[in-house]
Amino acid sequence: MTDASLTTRQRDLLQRWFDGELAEDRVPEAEALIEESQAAADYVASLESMQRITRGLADEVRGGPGWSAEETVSKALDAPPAADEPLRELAPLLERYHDGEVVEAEAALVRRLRRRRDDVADYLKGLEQLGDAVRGADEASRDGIDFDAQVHAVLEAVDSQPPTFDADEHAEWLHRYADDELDAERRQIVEGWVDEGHPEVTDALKTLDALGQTTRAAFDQAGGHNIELWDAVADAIDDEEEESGGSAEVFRLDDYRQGIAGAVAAALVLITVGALFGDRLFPWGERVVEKKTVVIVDSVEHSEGSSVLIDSPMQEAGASESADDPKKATKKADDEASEDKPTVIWLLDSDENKDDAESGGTEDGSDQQDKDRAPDAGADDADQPPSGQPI
Amino acid sequence: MRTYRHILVALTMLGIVGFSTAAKAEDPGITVEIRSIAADKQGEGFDSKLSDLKSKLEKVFDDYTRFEQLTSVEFELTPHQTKSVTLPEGSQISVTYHGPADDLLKIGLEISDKLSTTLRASPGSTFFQAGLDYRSGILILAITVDK
Repeated sequence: MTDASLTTRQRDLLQRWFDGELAEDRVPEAEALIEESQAAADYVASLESMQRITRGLADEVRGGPGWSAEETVSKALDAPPAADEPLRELAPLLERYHDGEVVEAEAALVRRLRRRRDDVADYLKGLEQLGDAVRGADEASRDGIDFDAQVHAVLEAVDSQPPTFDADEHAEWLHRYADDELDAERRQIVEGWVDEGHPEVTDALKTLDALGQTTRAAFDQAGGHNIELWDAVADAIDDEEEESGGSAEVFRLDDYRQGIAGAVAAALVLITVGALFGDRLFPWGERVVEKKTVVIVDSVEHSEGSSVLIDSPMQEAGASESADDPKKATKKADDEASEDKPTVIWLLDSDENKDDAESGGTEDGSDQQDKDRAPDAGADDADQPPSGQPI
Repeated sequence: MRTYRHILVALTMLGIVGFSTAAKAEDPGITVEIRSIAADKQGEGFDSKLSDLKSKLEKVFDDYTRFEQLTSVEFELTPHQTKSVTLPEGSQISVTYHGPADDLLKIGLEISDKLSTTLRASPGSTFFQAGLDYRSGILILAITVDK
């Protein structure tokens, strides 16, 4: 209860102020002390707590309303918030202060905090504004005023305020204003900006106006030439129509003749270039194709004492009819290609030939420098097709 | 008049392109590869250098069990040009390119004074000449012609 930082005189002053026994001329002195001294405020808060405890206990004894003994002790143990507490800790005290629910010592503390701390002052100011708003609405309701209508009117009034010019947002407005394409409401807004002498708006409109004049002048000039040109075209068309008997079909062909000729020429060039360089221009179009090969023996000459055997799919496929026609031969050879059998030109010496003759071979070497047509030789072998063995 | 001028320009361009095509169409010649292979009935073995010809050799020369590549020569021939190569067994093979025949290549082959033949082969084809004695077996020539 005692506070070493307070003098006995100050404690006596505060005690009497708290009990309402202080002379009026000394009240300001006591209040000043509370507001300026944390120790004085704490002392007054202690007095308040003691008073609550006393009243609570008395009420409980009488069985009347009041705090319970437990609540009374709990309240008594609650220390008043320190002056450097964060705002969120002080908020309950400030709200109770705003609602008139604090004791004098707490009120003195809040007043002192409000004077010294801006955040406390702002918070209390916000509470007061909120309270004013609530009270105003309540009064309006009591007076039969349509509060919703008032809110609506306020919102409309806010919306009806002309927007502030923003170069990015309203550039299109200026372009459309210059082109006389802006609606009346927005036009009025733009003109308001012009009246205000907004430099960006006036500069932009001047530039757009100059650009528009230049464009119109150029268009007018070009338009004049176009008219002359189209007059000449129309005259030429009339002349041709007269010469051709007025056929509309002739007129259309003539009109597009140059374009058609150019397109045909371009197509011819494209086709030619594509045919010549298509493989290189479009390499992704290449496909892997199995290559089939063919060998056709046209003539064979061999020395005396030897013989030759042509072992070829061509003969086996019927060389007699295909030898004179390479395309037919190729087709037949393609059919045989699946067998993967190559052409072999066998050169057989005399000893082998002798053996072959004994075994019924088809080629003999009796004639010097015989000139044999291979297909014939193959045809002779048709009954006993060579299997790659010397005959 | 302008229309005819466009057509004239187009035709001129076509002429230029066609001329260059004709110039390109000149036969650049062929390449010929001659591989000498020793085939024998004694012993077994297949030279890995001949792996691309294995199926053909085994099919055509099925009596032979041993194949060995002795030499491989590749050369180019322009039309009507002849090139001679000496074979391992001492003979000489002469190859002549007579020029294109439709889609085929006309080739002349001459092995010393033993054999002379003319044939047509499609580009990329391989054919064999066989029968010359070599060691205890025969000499096989695998001849590949291509553009």
